[in-house]
Amino acid sequence: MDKEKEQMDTGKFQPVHLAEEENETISRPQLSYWKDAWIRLRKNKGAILGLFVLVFLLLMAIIGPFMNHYSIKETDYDSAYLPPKVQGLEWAGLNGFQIFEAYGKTEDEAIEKGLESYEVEEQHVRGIEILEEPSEENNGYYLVALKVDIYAAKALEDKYFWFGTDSMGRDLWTRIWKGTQISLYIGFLAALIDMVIGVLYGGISGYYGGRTDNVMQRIIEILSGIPNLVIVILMILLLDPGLLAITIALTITGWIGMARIVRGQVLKLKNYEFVLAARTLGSSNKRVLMKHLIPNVTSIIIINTMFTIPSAIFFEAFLSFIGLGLQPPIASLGTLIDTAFDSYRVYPYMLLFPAIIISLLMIGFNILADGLRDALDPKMRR
Amino acid sequence: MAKYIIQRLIYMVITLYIIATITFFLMQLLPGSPFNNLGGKMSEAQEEILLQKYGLDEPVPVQYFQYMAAMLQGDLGISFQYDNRAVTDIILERIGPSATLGAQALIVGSLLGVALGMIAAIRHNLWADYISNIAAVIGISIPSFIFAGVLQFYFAVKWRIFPPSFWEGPIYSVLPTISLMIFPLAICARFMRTEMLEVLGSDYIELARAKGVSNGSILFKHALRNALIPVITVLGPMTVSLMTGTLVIEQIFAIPGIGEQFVRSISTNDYPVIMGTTMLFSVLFIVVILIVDILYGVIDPRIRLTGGED
Amino acid sequence: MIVENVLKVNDLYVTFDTYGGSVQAVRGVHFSLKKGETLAIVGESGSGKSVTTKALMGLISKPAGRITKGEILFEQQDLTKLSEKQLRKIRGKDLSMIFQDPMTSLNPTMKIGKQIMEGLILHRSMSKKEAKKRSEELLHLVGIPEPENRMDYYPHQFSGGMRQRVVIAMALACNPKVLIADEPTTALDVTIQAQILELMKDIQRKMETSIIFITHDLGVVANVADRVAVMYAGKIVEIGTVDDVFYHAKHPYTWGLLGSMPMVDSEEEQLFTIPGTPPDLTHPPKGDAFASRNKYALQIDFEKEPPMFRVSDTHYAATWLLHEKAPNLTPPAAVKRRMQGFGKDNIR
Repeated sequence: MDKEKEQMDTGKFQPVHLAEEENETISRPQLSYWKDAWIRLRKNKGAILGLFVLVFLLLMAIIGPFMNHYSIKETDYDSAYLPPKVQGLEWAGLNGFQIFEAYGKTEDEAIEKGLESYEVEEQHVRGIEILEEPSEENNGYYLVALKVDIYAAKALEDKYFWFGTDSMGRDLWTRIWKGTQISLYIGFLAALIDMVIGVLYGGISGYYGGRTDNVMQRIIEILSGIPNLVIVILMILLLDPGLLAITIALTITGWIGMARIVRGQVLKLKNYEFVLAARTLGSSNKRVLMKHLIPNVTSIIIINTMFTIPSAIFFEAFLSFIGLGLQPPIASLGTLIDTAFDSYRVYPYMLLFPAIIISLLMIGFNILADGLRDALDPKMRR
Repeated sequence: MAKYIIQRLIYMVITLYIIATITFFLMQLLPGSPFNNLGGKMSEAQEEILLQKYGLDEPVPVQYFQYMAAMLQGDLGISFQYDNRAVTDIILERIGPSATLGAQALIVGSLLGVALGMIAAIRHNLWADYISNIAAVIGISIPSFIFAGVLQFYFAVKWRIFPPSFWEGPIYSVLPTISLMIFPLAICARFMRTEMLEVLGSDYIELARAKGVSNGSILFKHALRNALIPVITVLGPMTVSLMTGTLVIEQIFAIPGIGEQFVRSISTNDYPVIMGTTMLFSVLFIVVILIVDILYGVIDPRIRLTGGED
Repeated sequence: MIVENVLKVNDLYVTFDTYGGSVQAVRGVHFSLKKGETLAIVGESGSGKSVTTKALMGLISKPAGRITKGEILFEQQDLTKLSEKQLRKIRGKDLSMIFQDPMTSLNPTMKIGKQIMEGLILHRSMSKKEAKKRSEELLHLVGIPEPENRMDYYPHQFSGGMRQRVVIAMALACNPKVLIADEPTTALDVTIQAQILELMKDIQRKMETSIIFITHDLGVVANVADRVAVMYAGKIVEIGTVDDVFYHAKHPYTWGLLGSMPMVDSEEEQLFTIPGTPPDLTHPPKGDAFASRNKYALQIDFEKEPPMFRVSDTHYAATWLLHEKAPNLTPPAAVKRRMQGFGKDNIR
């Protein structure tokens, strides 16, 4: 220590005169709110994965229907119930083989029956598997599974239906991506309704307060007392099922949650000093609302909108599933799933693809919404 | 407290009155004759008899009055589809399976959800947390009818562990209950996790730690109650999901419940049954919301329900 | 008379992992606490004073935060080496704590009686009945009227000042040897503040508890403390008796603090501010952390950290100004006048 002291030069003990401004330099670069949020979102692997899945599905929904020459309406009963077949992916099970199951007293009888009832010639059978030996449980029957090259059986060897075909021989690839378009349309429509009606209603109610707020809140209270489901079903009964009915039904009910949240935020923000300052300086009501309040509730609006999208997509699928959705020949993912349910035990592929896509869509939106909430929530900010 | 409950009950009645009125006038506006689906071609005389029988030839205000009076007595009208059957009877006959299913899904789902959310919060940022988060996102995202399909395909058709459909004993309720409870379970787990994390980060938990209280006591004596209170609010969305759930789940598993009847009535334009079920759903929903509010006041000593809102 | 040290902290380092990197919140803190004395730790937000006390209590939240170096000796026992279970036996019994905000530091859904009794049952192995009796005594001690009835109250039924009394009763339940008070009066009204401070002083006299008092309010310090430690950027920069620090401050940061303090009878028309903001402790600057805000900075401040210079037996400060080769700089005239003008009555 002593040695060290000696090494110290007296010159080092001269005062340094700092300029005033230098004191005010900020030691860490300050990030803007949105930049900061973006950095945090990028670190969230789940959210980025969700974003990629959504971008992929969106692109496929747009270009998918153009990737082959089938249309959504074109029916061809010769090519009904064809399982998926993809060039080059035959090894992965996408080989156009259909499995039929049949019972019989003996193995041969079961095979015979299977060929007969599904109208298949023996030369197209690619494999036979015995699923059940006779036992007391099944009254002494054999159950065999016949793996049949159905494309060959129907003499359609040169055709490829990537996701298979439905009961009317329509290409499911085209129909599924068109259906994805519809689901996305519903989702974005709901988001738009939320943003326009919900934000305006909530903003006005919260901002003007007093009697306006009172009346508007009573209306919301009564509307929200009626279950969504009931309103939507009533509207659809009135309007005939279809895209228009769903659109209107969503318009009536979809914005209530958003209106409440925005009102709450505006009430809170209204008394903050920056808003008071703007009013004192003579800003008009409209200007204060648009320039100061709305930007400050933006993050909450974004988060809430992101959660609205998947629930609207689900709602459409649900309505279609109970027969209140889109009417043929237009298909949505919900109607495709609904039709597939009738015969999914024999033709599981008809259920598989729309189910996977709607699940991916829902998961994608939900995890992206989660990620956005974590990224935009100021409470998480250090 | 009493004043608050009375106030809420009045609101409830107003809301129900509005719903009943809307449903009545919608019925008037609905397209097509209710008898379209009877199949046979009716003569005008026959149709006249039917109209009279269902009271559709009276002037609208009279019909409205009769409809309201009848509803007050629990009479929801007569089904178009099932000759001479009262809607109330149809509902009563079918409410059993739906109620059983709903109650099972609600209880098992919320208990498991709370447990899962708690584990996730305790193991915050550890693998148990990640796994339960992923499970919750999947549970919230994937529609119940897809779960139902998957469960039915594997557990009933392929592996034959449970019966694939119908309602003939407790074992028949296993797959439908699981399909129905996934969503309540998932939202309960998420909400519980968030609340628990917030409570565990609060000053009073830190003070309890500073008092030397053990981790177990902190969790169960201090944190659990505080975290559970807000979770009660998810009962509202959960009821809605159970109602929508029964519509599809009962259809998939061929369960003779209200949901299955409702879907069938929609496809046959049996308006009285649709309206009756709608009223039932509305009442159920409104009552649950009221219960949530009252429970909140009972469990949380801070809220004495002094008539304030929100 | 040699008064024994109850608590001694040696070279304590605490680090937190955050999004932006590791924050070295506490960087080599030394101090000791004698029996029955009150040590005030002052400093602006983020100076590491609260983190230091959390470290003392073993409440640094793992795994994000950890004590990376140093020891905390409580009755010859190093607390940093104890297991969570052993710590729990000391916490609440020998070391107890009062938090800043009484509105949030009581469990809202538990009756206050139960909250006070909890510690007694845990550490003193009392029966419920004994604990209840003792709790009522404690409530009486902290000046809550009708303690028998108040035991069944929930926190929301009390005002802020009353709640802080309840928190103090909880902290005192097991006759702790050290009481750590983290800004116990900051969230309260000024009149209530005075009452709570009086209460704490009173209790200290009765129970001979040592108190560590965290605050950023120098007025409070002058009122309650025997010694003062000034913290800046995770370090103690000046420590001494109240007289040493208030009348003979040596560190320019302490000068700044004194200059920024409002005084009732002051003739100064202007308050001083310390320019700039505290450094980012994810990357502590080279040399003296205060240098860039210091009007009296020397060349060496930017190169090398100052050691603790001894001013007197009780008074130490970490500034190169105390080095023999340093120019003889004095505090600004205004601050000097203030230092002379300090009398306890003069402070709000």
